[in-house]
Amino acid sequence: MLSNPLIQRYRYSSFRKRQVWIYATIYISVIILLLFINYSIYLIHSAFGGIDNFFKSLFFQFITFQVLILWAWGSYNSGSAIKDEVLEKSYDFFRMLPIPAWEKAVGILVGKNLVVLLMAGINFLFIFVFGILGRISLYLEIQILFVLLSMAVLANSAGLLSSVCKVPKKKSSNPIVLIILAFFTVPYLLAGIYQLSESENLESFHVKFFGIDIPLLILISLIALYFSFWVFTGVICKFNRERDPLFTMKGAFLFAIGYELIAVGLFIPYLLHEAPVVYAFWITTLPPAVIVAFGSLKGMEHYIEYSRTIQEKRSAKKHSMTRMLAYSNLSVGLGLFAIWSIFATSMVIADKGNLPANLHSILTLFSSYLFIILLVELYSIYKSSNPKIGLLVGFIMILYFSLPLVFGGIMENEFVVLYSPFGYIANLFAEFIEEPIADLSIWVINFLLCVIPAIIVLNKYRLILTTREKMSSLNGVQA
Amino acid sequence: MKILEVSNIRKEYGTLVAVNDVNLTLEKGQVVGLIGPNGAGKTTLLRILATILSPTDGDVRVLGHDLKKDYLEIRKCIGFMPDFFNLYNDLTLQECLEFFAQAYKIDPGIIPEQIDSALKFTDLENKRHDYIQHLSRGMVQRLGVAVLLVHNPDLFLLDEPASGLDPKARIQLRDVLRKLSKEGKTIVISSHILTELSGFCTHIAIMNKGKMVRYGSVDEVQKSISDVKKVNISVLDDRDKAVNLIKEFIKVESIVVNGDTITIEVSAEPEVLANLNAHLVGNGIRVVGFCEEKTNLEDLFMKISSGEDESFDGITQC
Repeated sequence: MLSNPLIQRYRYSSFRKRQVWIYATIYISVIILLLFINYSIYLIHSAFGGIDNFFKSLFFQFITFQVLILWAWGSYNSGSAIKDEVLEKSYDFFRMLPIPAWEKAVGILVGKNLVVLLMAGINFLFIFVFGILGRISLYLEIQILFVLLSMAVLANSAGLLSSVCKVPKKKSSNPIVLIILAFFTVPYLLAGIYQLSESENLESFHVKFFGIDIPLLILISLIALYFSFWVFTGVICKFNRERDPLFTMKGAFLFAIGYELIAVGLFIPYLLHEAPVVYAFWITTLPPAVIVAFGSLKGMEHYIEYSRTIQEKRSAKKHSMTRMLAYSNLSVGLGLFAIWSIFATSMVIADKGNLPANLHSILTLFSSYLFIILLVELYSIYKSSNPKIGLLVGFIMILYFSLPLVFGGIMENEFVVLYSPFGYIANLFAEFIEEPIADLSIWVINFLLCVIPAIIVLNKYRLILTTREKMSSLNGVQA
Repeated sequence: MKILEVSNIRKEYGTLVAVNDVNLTLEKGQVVGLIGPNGAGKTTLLRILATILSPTDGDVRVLGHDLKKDYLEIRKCIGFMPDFFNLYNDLTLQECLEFFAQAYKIDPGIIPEQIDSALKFTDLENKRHDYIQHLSRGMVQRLGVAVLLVHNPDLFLLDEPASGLDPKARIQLRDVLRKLSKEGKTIVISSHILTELSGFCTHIAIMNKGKMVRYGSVDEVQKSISDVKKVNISVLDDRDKAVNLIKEFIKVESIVVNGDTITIEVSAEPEVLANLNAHLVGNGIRVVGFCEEKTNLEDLFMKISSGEDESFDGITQC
């Protein structure tokens, strides 16, 4: 891994004498201050209630320090790599490097964080030693190490992905956002770690996953690694083809299946409890189906490119439209919803709920989902020719979501509220003890709403295919 | 040997067609000057060839590698110098070149030799251990060439390499480019500063409104744009007689007398011009100079920019 050229490149600039001594001075000062202040409190105020707790306190303080270094500083570094390249105007050279995308990603994640990793390495030694002295079990130390590292991988990959997805055109450093973010998050983080330090037998705190007892920290780490894997895949995808969506169709489906499985694993043990677990599962897993559909959005450029592939396969000419539809964002959206509905139905069956009524709810949600993805598709295929189409689509969505709520309020009619997806989902929770609402009119209206966008979208697909056909015949004549 | 084959490439940005059905084939050793007014699509074309942009349509092959499938292979065999670039300010020249050599998987044994050679070629040897942030703009441009030379690509793509340089730096860069062309490198170079290109370009590609309107050797392109030749005739005395003799002998498009020099614009074969010279001398005119003034790239560029030549709306392969 150290032969990675990007790691070598960052090594040159990170370990210059003129800056290494500054990092070293700050780091050593922080360590000495931490030790000095804690020891003073221990000696002067006889705090901590014994030497074991003194070391235990140090152990958790170093974990906090580690969190700040690995998660905050590290992800800031990873997230600024591409921005630096763009602002330094060296990004084209970076893009041209003939090294695989994964090597570029690893190069940035490790190379940009060489100092961070060095400090974190030394910190881990302190954590290990103070843990032993504070009588923290080795098992817990390993769990904490695992969670620290897996979350660091996730935070750093996410930082890098966000910078690749939105490459800045100008210098837009806005520390105020970071300060506000730190202001709101750091106290909770510290409180969380304090709670952690107060918990007895944290290592034996288990959660059920598919009925299997798994240590909480290990489960968090594994879930973080799952997301890290996909975030890293997204980075690779973006490095390979900048204009491609984050998810390919296959990737979107695989991610959704994995996500649903994790959710099922977490929710299944609670099915027997008297709580709206099924609908909690629905509401937890349905938004990702929408978000992933957004992450997989292909633009007009991709359709034009794909129409060429269709054209080249002359034998399949008859089925051009079918192939176009199969390739489209609509198919991805429908596939994601199909995956969600399979898991949603399975949960209903496992819960021994009212299957027909719940299937009706799924169908109603599907009708809303279809309308939304048709609007999104409308946006994605028209945004290149009309940049303001997003405004119109956004306006329609706001109306779709909010108007029924407004009219429901004015008319004091609860049923009208159900025509908004928000109202319908909220109602699922309100009615969970009784039967879910089964009214045909909601999904009939939703399907009617779909007609116009569907016609526009299909016409656009048809236009792409006919244009391609004309261009091919023109090239044929020229040849 | 075909280095580059471009067929029917097209790049659309929404309703804007930046590159419109461009075709281009480059043999080894050709130096192609890519000229055209602002917004003609030169940069977009170069960025597509450099694998940075993907074309909306069409095929590109570099040394037989398909742009869409083998872009990593293509990146190994091309060197692209973008317009308005910079390099890593926190590195020294030596470190920067080492980084690129490693990234291009150059055999570690020959890296020092390659770096020495690239620095020598670009006349930056004495700056080897300087930080890039301390280099002048002209030096950074030459370092850009040095970065490409480290992996010795088969095809150089240079986008406006002299933009923003002062005259001295421009001359230094031009010398580097001349050396590259003398070494038989295949180069595509876009530039507004046309004096940069004249003298060492073997071919000219003219773009306008996204289309490749002319492509061919410099002479062919010049000929295709106009048959009219500009001839400067310097005489020692009796200019009026000389002007009359010229008018009698040949139909001229225009005739301008400036001091001892008579400049005529004619559509004539070289043989007719030689006879004109003999005719003047035979009639007692003491001719000191008789030379055809080559239509330079500036003129071609101006013709495109002013839309003088309507045939530019069509595509012509010379």
